[in-house]
Amino acid sequence: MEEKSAPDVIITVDNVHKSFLMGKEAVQALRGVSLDIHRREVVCLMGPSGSGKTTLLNIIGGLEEPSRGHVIVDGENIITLSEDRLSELRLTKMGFVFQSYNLLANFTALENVEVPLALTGFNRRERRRKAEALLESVGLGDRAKHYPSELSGGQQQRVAIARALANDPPILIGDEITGELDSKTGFEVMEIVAGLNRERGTTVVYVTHDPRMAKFASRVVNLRDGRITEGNHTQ
Amino acid sequence: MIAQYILKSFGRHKARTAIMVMAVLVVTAMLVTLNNGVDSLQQQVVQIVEQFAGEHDIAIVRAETSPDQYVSIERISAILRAADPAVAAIYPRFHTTAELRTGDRTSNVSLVARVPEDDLGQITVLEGEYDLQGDHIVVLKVTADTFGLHVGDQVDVNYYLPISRMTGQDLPQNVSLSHITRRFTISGIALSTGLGAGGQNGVIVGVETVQDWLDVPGRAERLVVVLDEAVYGSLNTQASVFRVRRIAERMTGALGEEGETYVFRLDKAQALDQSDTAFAILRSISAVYGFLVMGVVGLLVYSIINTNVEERQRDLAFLRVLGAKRRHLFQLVIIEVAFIGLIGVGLGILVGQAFSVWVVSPVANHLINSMGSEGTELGLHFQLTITVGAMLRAALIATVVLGLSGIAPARKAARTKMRHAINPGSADSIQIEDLARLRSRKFDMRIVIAGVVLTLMWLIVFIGTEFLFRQGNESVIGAFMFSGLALLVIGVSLLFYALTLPFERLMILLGGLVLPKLSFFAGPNLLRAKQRNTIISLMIVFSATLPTFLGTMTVLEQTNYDTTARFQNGAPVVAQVAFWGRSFSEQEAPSPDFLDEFRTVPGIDRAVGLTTAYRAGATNRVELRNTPLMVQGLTESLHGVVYGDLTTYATGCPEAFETLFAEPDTIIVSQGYAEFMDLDVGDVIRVEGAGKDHIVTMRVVGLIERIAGFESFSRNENYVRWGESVAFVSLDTYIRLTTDPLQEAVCASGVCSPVERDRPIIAEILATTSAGADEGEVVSRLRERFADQAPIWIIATMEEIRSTEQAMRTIRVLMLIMTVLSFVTSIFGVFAVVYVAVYVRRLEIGMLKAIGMQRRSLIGAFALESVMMTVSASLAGVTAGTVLGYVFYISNMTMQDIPTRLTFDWLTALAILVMVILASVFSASMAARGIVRSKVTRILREAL
Repeated sequence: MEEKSAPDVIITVDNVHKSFLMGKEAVQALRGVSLDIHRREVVCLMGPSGSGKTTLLNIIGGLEEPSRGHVIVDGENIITLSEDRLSELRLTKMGFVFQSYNLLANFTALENVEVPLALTGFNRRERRRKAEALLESVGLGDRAKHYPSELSGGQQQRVAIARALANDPPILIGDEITGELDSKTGFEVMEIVAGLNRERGTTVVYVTHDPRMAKFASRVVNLRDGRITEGNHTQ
Repeated sequence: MIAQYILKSFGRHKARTAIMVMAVLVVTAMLVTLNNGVDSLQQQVVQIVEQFAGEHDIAIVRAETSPDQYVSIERISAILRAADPAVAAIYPRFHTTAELRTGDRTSNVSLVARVPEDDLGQITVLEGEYDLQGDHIVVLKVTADTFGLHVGDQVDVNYYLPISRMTGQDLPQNVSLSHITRRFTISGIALSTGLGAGGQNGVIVGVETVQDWLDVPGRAERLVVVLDEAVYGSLNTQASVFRVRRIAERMTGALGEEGETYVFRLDKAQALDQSDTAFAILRSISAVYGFLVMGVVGLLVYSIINTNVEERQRDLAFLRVLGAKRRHLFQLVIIEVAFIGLIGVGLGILVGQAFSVWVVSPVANHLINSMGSEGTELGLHFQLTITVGAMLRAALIATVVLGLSGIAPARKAARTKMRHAINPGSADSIQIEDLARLRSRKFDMRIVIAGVVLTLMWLIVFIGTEFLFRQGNESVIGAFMFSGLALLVIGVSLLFYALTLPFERLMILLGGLVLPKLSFFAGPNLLRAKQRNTIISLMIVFSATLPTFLGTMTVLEQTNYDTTARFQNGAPVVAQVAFWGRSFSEQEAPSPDFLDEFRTVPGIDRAVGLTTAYRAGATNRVELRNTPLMVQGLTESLHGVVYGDLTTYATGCPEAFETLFAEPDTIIVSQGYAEFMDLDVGDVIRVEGAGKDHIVTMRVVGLIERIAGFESFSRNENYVRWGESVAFVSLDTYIRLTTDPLQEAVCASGVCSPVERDRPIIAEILATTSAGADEGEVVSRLRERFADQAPIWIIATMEEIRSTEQAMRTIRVLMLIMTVLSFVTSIFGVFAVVYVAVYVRRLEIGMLKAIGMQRRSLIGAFALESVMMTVSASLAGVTAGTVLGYVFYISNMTMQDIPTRLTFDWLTALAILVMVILASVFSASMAARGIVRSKVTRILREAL
């Protein structure tokens, strides 16, 4: 179902609430968050532990449902989507990069990048060509046949980024992308992400707790106790 | 504390624990049922033997050389009773073969005389009553039917008085036996079992009547002794049998010098002893099945416990930090396995016993009843025996296998580094050798070498068994046979395990064509997840090899039985002169003229008479080699009578058959004999005939490579070396060869006159039926026609084939049941391993779900991976079993020089494939379903 939003807004978060049950107690992770993210924007979600930044990112990514409110991604209200349709949306419109890379251990770097392409239904030759090009673009053309265990953390994260971009999604979602990397490698990875934004116009939404990594964002959104305290505007 | 920790661990992994317990339970129950079945079958055999040998334990009769042929009842009973406290009862009896006469009909029947208190055996009165008072007699059913007797009829019985023989001398020939006749009135007609007097052709009378009849008051022909049941209380049959023997020895001792005049018969103990030997093989096979299926469960337990240890490594490391020693961690895992074993085996024994009593026993009895066998008429039924041995054997196998499967994970737990508690990442840091494990699964030479070693060990074991057979210890032979079979199956499974890889690649290729998207995910995981795939593949290869091997043997037997039967019989109809244990010359064997009568039976086309084989020394002209021949005379050519498709003629044949009858002193020999003696057609051999210096020089006119009906007519030179090579000559040549010319000058011109031929010489007739004639009807006519000529035994080849086919079908069904049983455990294995595999890959599931893989695709990918893996392993196992079956069967048939048709056991193979596919799809779907339905964030959070 197409929802109306401003023409250059790709993600709209409207009065989103989220509460969890921790034992017998309900914990309010988000308390009426509203946020617009525009195309080609790089948005960094920051905040102390328990502020709700990862919950907000998961809701934007369709990995979790809000308790209340609406989330519109590229014109579609993801709250109303079926499980299958939501999967399709994630496959075609979003790319995910996780803190712990989450690469398939039994697949080579190339095969890992091929995973979303296989799910989309590309044939073997197209898959291979596209995956090789993506690995080249993240500087890992010579590591295509290596298994994740044979790659360094930074290299694994670059494979994860290539995988996230396999289906040319308009949105890239990153959860503590540099969390397990040393500073130098972390900066290198963030440079790649920023470069992709510049070259491909990919909208990037990422969570970090490292202020040094926030400088790659065009907008920093600060959260505290489930509310946005700063950054709910385009810079 | 340890128990608490283990219980908490079980609680945390309920599904895995339940799978392990269920697997142990099911297999233990299955083994207990199987063992109960084997033990019960043995008891049943003993019971059947008892019905013929008698229910008593010892029978004491007079020795043939004893001047007195009767036993003093009171005096000897007292001595025997005092000899051993295990004597429970002693009864006097008369057992003999008597002559029954009614009207003008006479026949020999068995006679048993018993006292009223003799309650051994079972008498089922069909008509009248069981009254042995005075001149009353009970006639058994077959006798009553044969003579058309009824209650109230009178019969005369001749009792032949026993005579002694002198020590060291035979009984004089043609001695006339004294007999006393008595007239009886039939009081009842009955069936009897367990008296030890043969079948249902006989009579039962009272001991007092016989004593009066023979005038031997206070004496009997024998005493039968019943021992206390505790004598057979031992689990060890050999021990029980030896105990009976010791009691008999004590009795002999108690009789002192007089003991020499008695013979002690231990028929029941003997039967038990013999059945124990026969059942040692059956027990070996059931033990092999037991170890194999339990081995599969062992792999399953190993796999799950290993995963548990891997997951709990941080906990274990903390325990070490807190001061636990390595042996404590080792014990922790071993106790965990022991807990599972205790629950699984305990419940398994109960379930197995319940299943035996409430399912197996009624089903077996139902089958017996539905067959309407004679056994049910006699009140026979399948009596299920619940033995401690059945339970102990199952528990022992389970304990050994579970113990072995727990050692490796326990050692892994004991090796846990304390660093795991502080920094799991560094403790788990991947080493160079670990990287190799993640590489594509390659041909594992170690597994193949293990297979070769085990297969060779099997040969050693079988050579050892051969040696042990000479030594004669059944228990050791049984154990060796079991080891041999187990090693063979495991060895061959390991050898063929290497095939799983090409089969997996083939499956991926096929999967890629049919389900490309799902195959993309299944393929790399299938080929590269080394350790877990190896375990599950091995489990399935083991499980598939043995049933396929046995199934292949059966199906080959079934397919080739007609060939074997046709080859062995030689022709559609065979009439044999039965010897009844006496030499041929003493018999009223038919003369060649009999063939004319034989041919008059409607439906008979051609009939060739054969003489017995005359073993004659034969040399070539200069006596370089002297190798005997089995010379058989023919009345006419065998060409066209024996099965042509199973006959291979060599030089000169089949025309040589004509020459054989046209020219005297000609011979047809086997190709093997010709090669061994370096003979060819036209060469001559010197054949030694009956009598001194009686040499007949014969010209070889034809060679035959193989001929149906004559196994030793072959290229196989072994028959020649053993002096069993058959050669054909004409009937006239045969008569000349086998008659000593100094005793009787026959067939001087080389051709016999009809008078000279007229002698009882025909031992066998091979015949064909006319086109369109019903073989069954022809055989019935033959049997009817020659029924009163006792020595003629008619065999119909098709009839044999049909009856064997029926038996083969039954065996195949049994094989299928065994296959299903052994695969039940594999299904648990598949379920457990797939479940664990899915569980440990939940991070992967979370990630794939996050990037947009749909639920059904995820479940489909896991199911496909599981199916590809298990089907590949099954195909490897099926190949292993089939090749093993072919090797066994073909080598056996080649040795006998019988052509073999190869076939494939589709039934077992399809049953295996269907079972593994269903198990794989079910287990993968069930295991993945729970995780796949969870939210991505939850999966990822829990996995991390």
